[in-house]
Formats: sequence, structure tokens, C-alpha cells
Amino acid sequence: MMRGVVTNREALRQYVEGFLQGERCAFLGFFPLSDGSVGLSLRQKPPLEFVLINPFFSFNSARFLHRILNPSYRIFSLLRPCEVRAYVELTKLNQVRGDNFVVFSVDCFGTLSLKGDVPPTLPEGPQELGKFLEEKGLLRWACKNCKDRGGKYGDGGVRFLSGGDLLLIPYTERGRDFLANFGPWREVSPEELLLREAPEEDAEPPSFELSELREAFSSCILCKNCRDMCPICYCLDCLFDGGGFLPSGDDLLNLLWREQVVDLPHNVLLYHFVRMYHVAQSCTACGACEEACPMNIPLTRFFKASSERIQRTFSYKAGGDFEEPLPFTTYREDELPDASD
Amino acid sequence: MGFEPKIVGFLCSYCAFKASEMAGSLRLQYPEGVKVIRVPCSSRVDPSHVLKALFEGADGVFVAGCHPGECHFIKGNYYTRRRIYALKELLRTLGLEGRVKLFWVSASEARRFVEKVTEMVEEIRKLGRNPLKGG
Repeated sequence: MMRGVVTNREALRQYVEGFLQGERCAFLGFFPLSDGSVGLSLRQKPPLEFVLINPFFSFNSARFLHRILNPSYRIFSLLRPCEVRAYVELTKLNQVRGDNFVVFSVDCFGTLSLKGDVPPTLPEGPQELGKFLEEKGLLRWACKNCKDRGGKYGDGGVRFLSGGDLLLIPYTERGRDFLANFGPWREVSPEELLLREAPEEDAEPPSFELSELREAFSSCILCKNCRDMCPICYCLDCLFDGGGFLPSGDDLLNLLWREQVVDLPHNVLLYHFVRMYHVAQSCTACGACEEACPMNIPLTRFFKASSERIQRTFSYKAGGDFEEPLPFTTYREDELPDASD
Repeated sequence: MGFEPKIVGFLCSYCAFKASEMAGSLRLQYPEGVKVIRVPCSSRVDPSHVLKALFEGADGVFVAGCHPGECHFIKGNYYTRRRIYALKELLRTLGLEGRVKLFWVSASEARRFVEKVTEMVEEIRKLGRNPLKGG
């Protein structure tokens, strides 16, 4: 059984507007735009005509909680599960100061890419939307292969109930504090949830051949958009901004002298491999990299497979829990007996 | 002329590097293709260094540190163990198994160092040239 506040969208809207009455309180969430699409917005004044479901995925919203370091603002946020998981990872990576944030994850029914054909109208209801996207083949690859659409992450979850109501469940102390004056609280059984999640499979993530990778990345132009739009790739000084990893200018001539042949752009696969390793522990397979890619490289396939494999190795789930330490920042003395050769 | 693998090794200066020096003073021979880089601790090695070496011409890369529990900095090699293990997992996903190795070699184990390195050179010789070289 799950215990939470059973409410509806209008009551939730009023409750959040009430929260904005406080000093320096803000809301981050999805709002309808005049052209019929939906966008992310940070607001501090009513009216708050936010929507819970954003059918378009163009970037991971956790990026905008990055480096908000001013402790005086309190921010309440309603985002998608993959975004909230990235946010949880960022708090653990010390890139977000989470004490004043309350971030709830909302059940997700799949999203479509703005890069492909966008139908003029989309169905209203969440379930109808999910069905529509699936039937028309509009689901993004990342969403089609996502097993974590439930609002089960962050400080709390917003779950759709089959009767049309919403269930707000707090998961952390901050979430409980936020919902303290809300009601009515009720016990709800998981059968009442609208979202039917695919059962968790324990299948081995796929592996690839080098030729496959070469082919997929052959069109890469090294614009590094995938890095810039990745919520996890946060380093201010990226290895690939200096000359050491991506030679340019005179470095190219030095390289030519050494190697006789220099294919350009140089070290495309190195860039992607290093990124794959660096995001592996925290990647939530949201697919923001793929959305950002101007050459339509299927990045999510590779990043999802490699990160899932590494997270499985350490029985870790990116964004699953605020408390669980990141795999590369902790160790057990008696583990991995077969690590050394 | 046969294929002579180029191997880059990152050696912890408190153990494996000392072992490699001792191998020299004991006149123990190991293959010429092994190039040694001294690092203050095996946990100094980020897998990006290993990947870069593989892309810039090395046929194999190894990281050598103190046996678990014997790190000069108390716990550095525990982190190395996780990182290199994860890197090997990544390379397995990408179809590049067997070119990265992790050795535990203490300062007194010159013979073990030579054995491990020679063994690795033979293995890489069988694997052949590194397909990643040059990007």
C-alpha cells in the first residue's frame, strides 16, 4: 500500500500557489506555450497554469537546477522521472544545493522528439497520449526502452490514479514537510495506479562490435552538443576543451609527424568512450544527448547499454536514492576478487 | 619482423614502480615495448588516461598498484579497483576485451612484475594490433 495525498490537478495548483506566497519561493515546471507546445518555466507569481505532462522532450530539465547556489530561494519542482533521477545524481555529485529544493517526479507516459514529425494535436489524457505515441511510432527510443516511468524518485511522486485523481507520495523529509498542510491522506493500493509499468527484467544489457560503433559515430562532427546538453556532464574544465585529447593547430602537425596519417576530426571515438565512462555511474538514459545531436547519432543505445552494465556491476541505480553513495566514491574491502589480472 | 606490442603501464610510485626499478637492479629482463609511467598512486589514473593511451598507439595498457589493503594512502587502490573494473566492463560492452589489465605488485615483487608484464605482452601479441589506434 502507498500512503499519500489524494487530490486533483486544480487542488494541487492551488496548493503550489499557496507555497509561492512564502518569501522567495519559486516553482519550476511545465507550462503550455501559445504555439500549442509545452515548455519549462521558472516562476514565482501566480497564476500557475502548469501541466503535469510534457509530451515533448528536447532537454533534461535537471540542467537548470545546476549551480543554483543561492540558499535563500526555495524551489518546488515537478519534473519527469528521468530528470528527477539526474537531479538526485547531481546532488550527490555536489552540483546542486538540494536543501531548499523539493523536487517531485511525475508519472511519465512517454515523450516524442521535436526533431521528427510533430502531430498538430495530441490527446489530452496521459494514458491516451502514451497510447497515441506508441501506436504512431512517435515515442523516442529512450522512452520506448524506459522501464522507469513511474514517479518513484526524488523528494516525492505524483502518481495518476485510474479514477482521474492524483496521488502525491512523499519520499524524503523535505517532501513530507512540503506536503504537511495538504490533504486528505489516504492509503492507496498499487492496483489503482493508471501507469502500468513494464516488469523489471534482469536481461543482460547488449554489447557491440567495434565496427558497429565506428559506423554509428562516423558522422560525428565533434560539436560536443551531447556533452553540453547532458545533465550529468557537469565539469567546467572538460578534458576535451584543451588540446591534450582533441589536438588542433600545431598539435596536428606534431601528430602528423608521429603518425604520418591524421584522420579528422581526430579522436571521435575516444571522446565518446571517455564520456561513456565518465557518465556511466550516473547516466539515467534520458536521451538528452541524442536530442542534441545534429547528426542524429543513436547515442542513447550505447550510453544506456554501457551505463546499465556498469551500474549493475555495483548494484547501483542512478538517481534511485539520495543516500546511496556513488559507486566510484565508495568501496568495500572484500569485493571484486576477479578485478586484478 | 614480427609484431612487437607497445604496452603502456601506469605504476604506483610506492610499489610497482619500485618493483620495476628492482627488476632493473636484479638484471631481470622484460620486453622492450613496455613503457612505464610513474604515478603517485594507482588511483591517480583516470580511465580517460588509459583510453587515451589506447587511442594514441598503445596495444595494451596496464595499471599496477599496491595489493589491496597496502595502499600508501590507505584506500587509493580500492578506488582503482572499482574504476578499472568498470572500465573493463565498458570495453567489454564495446567489443574491446583484453587490452587493459590491473596488477597488484608490491615493492619487493620484482619477479612478479616481470612475469606479469611478460605474460601480458604475450597475450597482446596473440590479440594482434590495437584496432583503435589513430582514432
